[in-house]
Amino acid sequence: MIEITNLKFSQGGFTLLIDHLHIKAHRSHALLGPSGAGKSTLLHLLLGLKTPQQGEIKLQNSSIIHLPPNRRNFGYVPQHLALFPHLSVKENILYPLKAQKRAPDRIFLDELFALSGLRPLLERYPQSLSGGEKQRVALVRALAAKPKLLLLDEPFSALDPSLKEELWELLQRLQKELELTILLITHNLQEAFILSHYCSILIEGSIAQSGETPKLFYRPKKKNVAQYLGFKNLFEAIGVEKGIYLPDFGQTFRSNLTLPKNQKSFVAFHPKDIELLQKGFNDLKGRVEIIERYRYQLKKFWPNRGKKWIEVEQAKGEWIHIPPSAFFEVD
Amino acid sequence: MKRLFLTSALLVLLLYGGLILSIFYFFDASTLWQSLTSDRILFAIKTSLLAATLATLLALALAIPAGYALARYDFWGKGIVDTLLEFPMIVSPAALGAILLIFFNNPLGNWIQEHFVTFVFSFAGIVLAQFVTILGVATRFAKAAFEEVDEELEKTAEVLGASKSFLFLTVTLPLAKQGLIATALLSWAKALGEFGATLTLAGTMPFRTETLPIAIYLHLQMADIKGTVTLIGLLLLFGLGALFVTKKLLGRIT
Repeated sequence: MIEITNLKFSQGGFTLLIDHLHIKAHRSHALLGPSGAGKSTLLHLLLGLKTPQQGEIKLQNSSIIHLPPNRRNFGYVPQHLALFPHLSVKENILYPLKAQKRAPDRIFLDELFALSGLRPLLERYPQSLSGGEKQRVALVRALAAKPKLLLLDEPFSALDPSLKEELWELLQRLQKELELTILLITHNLQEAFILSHYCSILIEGSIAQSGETPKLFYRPKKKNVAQYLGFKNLFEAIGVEKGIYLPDFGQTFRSNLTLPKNQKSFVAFHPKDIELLQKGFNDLKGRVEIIERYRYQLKKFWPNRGKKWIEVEQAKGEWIHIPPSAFFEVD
Repeated sequence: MKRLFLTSALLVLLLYGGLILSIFYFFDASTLWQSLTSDRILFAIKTSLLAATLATLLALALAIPAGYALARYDFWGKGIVDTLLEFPMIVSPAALGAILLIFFNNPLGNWIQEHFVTFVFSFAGIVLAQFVTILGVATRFAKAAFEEVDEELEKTAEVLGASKSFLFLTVTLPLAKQGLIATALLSWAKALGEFGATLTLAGTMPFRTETLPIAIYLHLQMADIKGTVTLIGLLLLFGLGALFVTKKLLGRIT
């Protein structure tokens, strides 16, 4: 669908360099990354609002790099929605069609109105709408001209949690029913996990890792990606004869991994892979400390012999077991 | 502190309000009637209104695109253009008129006058003097009106399929409309009151280049205080009327 190769853009000391990024048709792709990683720059390059110094952007195998923004046929929901304040909801929604001199597809629009529940609001003006209503208008406006790609630039960041979840559901429904191709720019991990089939992590101007969202979230391949995704169980490891040695716990663990001998590497494991029992190997004895956060608890397991804590999902007993298959290497 | 600020504001009111009220000391209803029925004064009123309107339309034709360029684009010489907008304010109006007069005495100016329009001592000269005086202000206000329009709206319109001209007509212009109307009215009021440049370039010929401010000057020279006061009243009526409408429009914007 969208293929980006060797894309380079430099401005004011910042360089964005995308070796390769593929956005699959009829799938939702999240672009995640910390602030300043280059997400907005990449978005502007895709939209045609910025011109790269080199590289290629192809839409369905045709280059769009020299097309102006208005001829790329993209739907766009910017962070602050940018609803036209002098136009009614209906006029806002029909704007892309008027701009492209296309007759409205009444059946498609009816379907959009039904899915989004916007019909009663059509004659109202943006100023009189609530945050969630504005969001829905911006979403439907972006879809009215049946774009080839829908680009969402952190559109839900300013909403309260319950409204956010409601709109996530709407977006999922629209994506499924209309088989949309979506690129979602976000720094909200939960949002990316729920809404995307694929995701890419952008760190310091380049794609650190891309892949299927559940796999990437579960087993990131790079240390900086793991750290960005909030992995706590990330430890230094040295390959030894019988497995891997973790200096932080002064212990050798059996592992399905084969790490280079006597060389420092990094391994990680997911809290949900940790078992609360004692098997006679890969066991650690210690105590659990629970740190209360709003709607969330961080459970730290402090091994009796060890310098660092391990994040666990449950707090029960004084033993944990890390199965050999739980370990994965991060570069 | 608040008292000091309020006192200052009241002093401004006292000064300008007092000066306006003071002219009523010499106000005479019969002179007003005489003035309003005098062919010469009616000609001056008509000349003033027509010249100010033409000068404003011409200034807007240039100020609107120029203001948009200054508000939205980075280009070579932008800083110089932006600084030069204050040029008519820095040089005195008489100096501005003198510059124009000198220009029409150089070979290029002569050629323009011979082949196109005669500006020196003519109605076209009044329009030109007013146009040059207000162009800077009109561009400055137009720029401010466009800066009020959120650029994100224009970018979104473009991505949604609008060409540059379509988005300018359907998004930028409607959203800058009130600011641009205010620009037009303020420019018109300033053109109406223009004196120095008009006097220098177009002269003071009755039934030819006599505008309201020039008529005030001529009546004062003849020591006709009552006539002067009547003409000032008329000028104030037109000018303050335009400013009142402008303030109302700007109030609606903010």
